[in-house]
Amino acid sequence: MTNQQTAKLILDRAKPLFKREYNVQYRIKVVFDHYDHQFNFYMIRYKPGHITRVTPLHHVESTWIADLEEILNLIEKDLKLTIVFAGFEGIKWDSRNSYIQRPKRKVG
Amino acid sequence: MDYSNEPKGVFMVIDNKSFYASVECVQLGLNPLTASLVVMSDQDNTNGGLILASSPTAKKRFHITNVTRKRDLPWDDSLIVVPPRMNLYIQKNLAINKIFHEFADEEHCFPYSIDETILDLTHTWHLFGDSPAQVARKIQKTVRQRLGLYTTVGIGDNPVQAKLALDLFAKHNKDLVGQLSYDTFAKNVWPIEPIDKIWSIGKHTAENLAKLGIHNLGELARTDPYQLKAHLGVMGYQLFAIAWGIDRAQLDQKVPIKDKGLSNSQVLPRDYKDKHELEVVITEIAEQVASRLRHRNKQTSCVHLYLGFSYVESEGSNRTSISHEQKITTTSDNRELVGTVMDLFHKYWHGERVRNVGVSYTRLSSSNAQQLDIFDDPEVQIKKSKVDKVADEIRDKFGATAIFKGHSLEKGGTMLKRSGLVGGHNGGNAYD
Repeated sequence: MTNQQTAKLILDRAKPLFKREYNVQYRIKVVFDHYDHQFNFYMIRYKPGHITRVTPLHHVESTWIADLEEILNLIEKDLKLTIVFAGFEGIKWDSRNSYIQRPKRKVG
Repeated sequence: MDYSNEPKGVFMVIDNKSFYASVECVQLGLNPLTASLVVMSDQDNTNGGLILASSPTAKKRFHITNVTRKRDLPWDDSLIVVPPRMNLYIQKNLAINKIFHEFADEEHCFPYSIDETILDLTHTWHLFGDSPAQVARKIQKTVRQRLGLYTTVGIGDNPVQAKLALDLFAKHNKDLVGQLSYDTFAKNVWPIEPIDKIWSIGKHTAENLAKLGIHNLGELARTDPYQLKAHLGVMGYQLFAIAWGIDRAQLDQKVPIKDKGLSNSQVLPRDYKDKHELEVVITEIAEQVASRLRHRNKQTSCVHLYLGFSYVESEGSNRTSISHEQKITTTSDNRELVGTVMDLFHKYWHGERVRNVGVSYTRLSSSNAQQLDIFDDPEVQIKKSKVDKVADEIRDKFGATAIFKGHSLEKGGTMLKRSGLVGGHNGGNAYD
């Protein structure tokens, strides 16, 4: 599956979940799954005072940040939601010299 | 008690802590022990949502148990709810068992359920550590490192001790390991109350034991086994053996199955009281089991129908279900089987509201030959069986919904909605 196809699949699944409800925050979560060596994509529906619903959207069997960057750029063109990350501590974007997630602070 | 003649080995029962919830936590990049997460099935028949699993923290913070309903969930945004992905859990279970095979060969590794496995490490444990407890730690660490999941381990001299060590001690110990042996069994297990905490003793058995004045395993162990047999039947002997921590099961010897049958059952999304709707759903199930029958090259000579009534119907009445079977001439033909099931339905159903439906075919025999009916045209009979076969082949190749009867589209049919489910819950393929 090409990155374009992946992005389209994720968008096709995410859009129906983005219902623009009142007082609800929608986010896309990307997880670097180090156990399965893949990126997992989720849609989060957060409403204060209610249970938080998390729906899996897709997983990509790749650990290339360049791939991820391309997919996310394609998604952001069409669906402007905040993207949150997990499992990327200390990893930088390919195209710019900035962290996806800051490195974990060493305790002590 | 003299245990010198009892079988003694090193057995471990390994359980995945909150399996489904833990798998989801790992996929979400969360720690399975600290995240508050529940897996909730949203199928039509779950009354708005049924909790299949919850993480240890969710259990502790919100007192959620499995099979809690959606309406009982707390209104709290720190609680994460995800849909089930049964196929993913099956994959993870296979991955875990693969790790176990590094410690015990396949002959000594017995999957007990989707998240529990029994390992017979009698001959191999010393290859991996100085004590069984050390080996247990090693297994736990390996699973944690490779899959991110936490496991609890019960260790015993025989399988039942290992299982009890897991249920009663490992889950509460900090290192998630519990150990029992012939020497420590009585001291640790006998005082435990209520008695239905013990594996294999349910509410019903506990009530029966209470009638005999038995409230813990110690009292059970000191009861005359013949008295137990008289009150509880064969189970009496079994319970007596458990009370002394004795288990003579040979896990590697296969238990011969006397009369294997095939069955399917389902909880309906709502109460069905319309005759036609019930006919549709029963036919669907009967055809589904018939198809599985043909798949295994079997024929049946006994058809069984079960209808469970709704709560409303069974309240104040002593009839809560009907369950009837009928012997037939050996067949695997759709029409004949559905016809027999329908006959049973028409004969015994008297307008009650139904919530559970089950169909099973027993007394199976291999179907290399087709039994022809002397009164019917043989060519027509052969043709009919060919039609069934072709339909089965189409479904194998193109999926269960590639070809189906028109009635599945009618009100009451559940087949199309359930076709993607695994064990009645979302398989999760739609998220891959």
